[in-house]
Amino acid sequence: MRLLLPLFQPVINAVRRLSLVLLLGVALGVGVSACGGDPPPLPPEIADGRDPELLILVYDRSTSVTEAELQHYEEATRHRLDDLVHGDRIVAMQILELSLDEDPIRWAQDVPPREFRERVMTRDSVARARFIQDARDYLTRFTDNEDRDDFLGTDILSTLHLVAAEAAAYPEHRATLIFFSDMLQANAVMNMEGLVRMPPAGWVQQQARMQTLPDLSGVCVVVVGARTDTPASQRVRSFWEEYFEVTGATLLPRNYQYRAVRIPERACGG
Amino acid sequence: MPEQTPSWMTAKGTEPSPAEPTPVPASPTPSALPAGSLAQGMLDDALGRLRDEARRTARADAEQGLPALDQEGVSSSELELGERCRSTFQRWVASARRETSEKLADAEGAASAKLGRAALGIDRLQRVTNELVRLKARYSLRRDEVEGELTRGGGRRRGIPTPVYAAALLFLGLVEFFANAPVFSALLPRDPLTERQIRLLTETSVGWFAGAERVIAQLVFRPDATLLALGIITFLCVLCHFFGGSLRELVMQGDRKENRYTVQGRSMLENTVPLVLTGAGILLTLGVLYDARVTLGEVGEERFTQDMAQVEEYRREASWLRVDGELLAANQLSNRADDLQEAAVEMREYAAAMARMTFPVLLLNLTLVLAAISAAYFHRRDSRSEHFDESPFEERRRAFIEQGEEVAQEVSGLLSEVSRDIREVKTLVTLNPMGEWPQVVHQLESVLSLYRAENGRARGLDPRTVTAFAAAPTLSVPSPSANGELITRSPDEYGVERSELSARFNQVRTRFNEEATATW
Repeated sequence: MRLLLPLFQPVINAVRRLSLVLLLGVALGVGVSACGGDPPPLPPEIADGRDPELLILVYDRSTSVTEAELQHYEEATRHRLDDLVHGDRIVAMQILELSLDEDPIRWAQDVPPREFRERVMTRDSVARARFIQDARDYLTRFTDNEDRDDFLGTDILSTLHLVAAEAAAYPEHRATLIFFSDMLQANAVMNMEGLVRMPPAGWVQQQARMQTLPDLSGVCVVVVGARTDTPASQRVRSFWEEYFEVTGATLLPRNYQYRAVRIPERACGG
Repeated sequence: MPEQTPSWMTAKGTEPSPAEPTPVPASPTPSALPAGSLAQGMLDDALGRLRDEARRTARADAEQGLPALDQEGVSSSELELGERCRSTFQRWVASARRETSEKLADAEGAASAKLGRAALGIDRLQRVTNELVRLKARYSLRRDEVEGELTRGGGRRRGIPTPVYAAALLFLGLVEFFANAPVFSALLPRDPLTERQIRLLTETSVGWFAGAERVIAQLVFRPDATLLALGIITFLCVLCHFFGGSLRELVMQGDRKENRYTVQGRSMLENTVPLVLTGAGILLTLGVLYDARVTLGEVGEERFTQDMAQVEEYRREASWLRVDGELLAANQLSNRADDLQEAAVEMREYAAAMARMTFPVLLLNLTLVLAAISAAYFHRRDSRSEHFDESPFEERRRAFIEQGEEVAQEVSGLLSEVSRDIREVKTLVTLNPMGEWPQVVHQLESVLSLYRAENGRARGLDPRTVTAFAAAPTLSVPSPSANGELITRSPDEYGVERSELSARFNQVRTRFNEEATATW
């Protein structure tokens, strides 16, 4: 055995060197990988695969809306804004009074995007919180009870053309339309207040054939402030359900409410 | 033919007395003792008195007609004078003997003392010689030990290796850099975009290297401040390097000059000039760093005021934008305002902290500079090599030799003085000072002759016609003994002892000379 030992000595040495190199490599690998620490968490919207949202807030300040209802709109808005995340867009507009000829009262802003799309940063959180607070403050003018006596009407249908334009401008966004209104169209053509001049049956289909309706495809519609407790209000609701269905929007029955306690982020599911 | 008178037996008493009216026919005055000696003085005084007495007695007897012309025998006056002369002789003998005895005792004492001192000196010389032998043995032993140790040490040279020195200097430079770079970053004008980039990198850095990333971001994104700080630290390191090197070279040169290992061909100024220049450079650089920190406090306050004014402006503008609904722009302005405020507060705190730490950081800088100088000092290779230092042994050997030579010289002097002392003893013993006693007797007998002559002159007679004066006056005195009875040792014994000491001294001195002239 002793005679054979010198023959195997080079092999033993090589194995020793190799094991030393392997040990060093393992140590280096473990050390280097450990030096980086845990990878930073992804932002929730990226982790959940959430698409950016286009939140369109349409406010009705006509005289048919009471002051209490305006306060409710403001409160609902405050809660809903909390759901906005980086990259979302918010659009607020006031319902036109008579027609599209009017200069719309519109305000739109993007929620500040993350500085690094896939990285959570404290600074982004601060910017978002500040933005939402600013937006809440700014949107109070759309629920202001003052100076409403000069309103001439409530042209929801024309306003929806503006909404369609907003949705079409951001096709990659998931559009959510929130109507803070009693949904009573009131202008020279159509006046739903007291069902004075209700559109005739088949009006929606007729307009669709004439291609005078806006394209609201993919828009999730939420109505806050519309009553459903009377036959008249049910008739109005039926009209809007037909209307939104024809225009491609989604209006679920649960999203047509008078006093919504909380407007869910994904009102239409998905 | 009179005997030769010893030097200490000069004839003071032979001078004629001024009181003597008729000088006696001069006879050579015997001088048994040297002039000035007590015995001789006593003899001279006694002779003078006796002569006066002889004259007076002679005149008195002459008036009375004494002695009668036919009177037989010696007159009573002459007898009385004779007795007094004998008495004077006895006193002289006693005085001379006492004086000689004292001189012999002194000479013997001196000889004995010098012989003793010479013996002690020879013993001391022998001890010095033995010390020389022992020193030589110790030298050989120590030299073997040191050379063996130096051989085992591989002849290593002093000085830290270059890689270690470079690493030390690099580390010191890094410490100095990180201690001072933020100051320059704070002092130089800031760029908002750069600040934003740094902030972004700071926020996004995670993991174990996050700290390093933030530090590197501070350096990379502020190249002006980094280069400035790097330049100053490089200056400082270079200055420390040359300062430490020059200092070491100066010390080595001074050592070589002091120990005279080599012939000095270079001036000390060659190292002093760079030493002074680099020292001044180090002080200036430290002064710049110190002043930068002092200035930082004021600059921080000024900038904070300016930045806060800008923050207020941003926020005011953001408010207007919010009113207009430009929330995104307002948000950006608010962010800028927050960033600016955060940076301003941070800057002010940093400046205040740095201003408070001006002196401690100055001490830190000084410490780092001293460390760098020390590193450069020890890095400088010493061209000298270690060897056995024989100078302590050489100094001791020189001291022993000087001591031995002094002892040998002293012993040699003592031996020569002993010879003289022995010779004096011999002289005192051999030359009997009382051998002059017959002359003294003659002098005393001349007193009797003076009596007879004065008596005859006063009576107008020829003294020879007086029967009592017919016989020659004589004094019968016992002859004194020789000086040999006064000494305790024979002068030859002193000579033998001296010869033995001299022989031993020659032997020891020969051995001493051999050891003193031998090499290591």
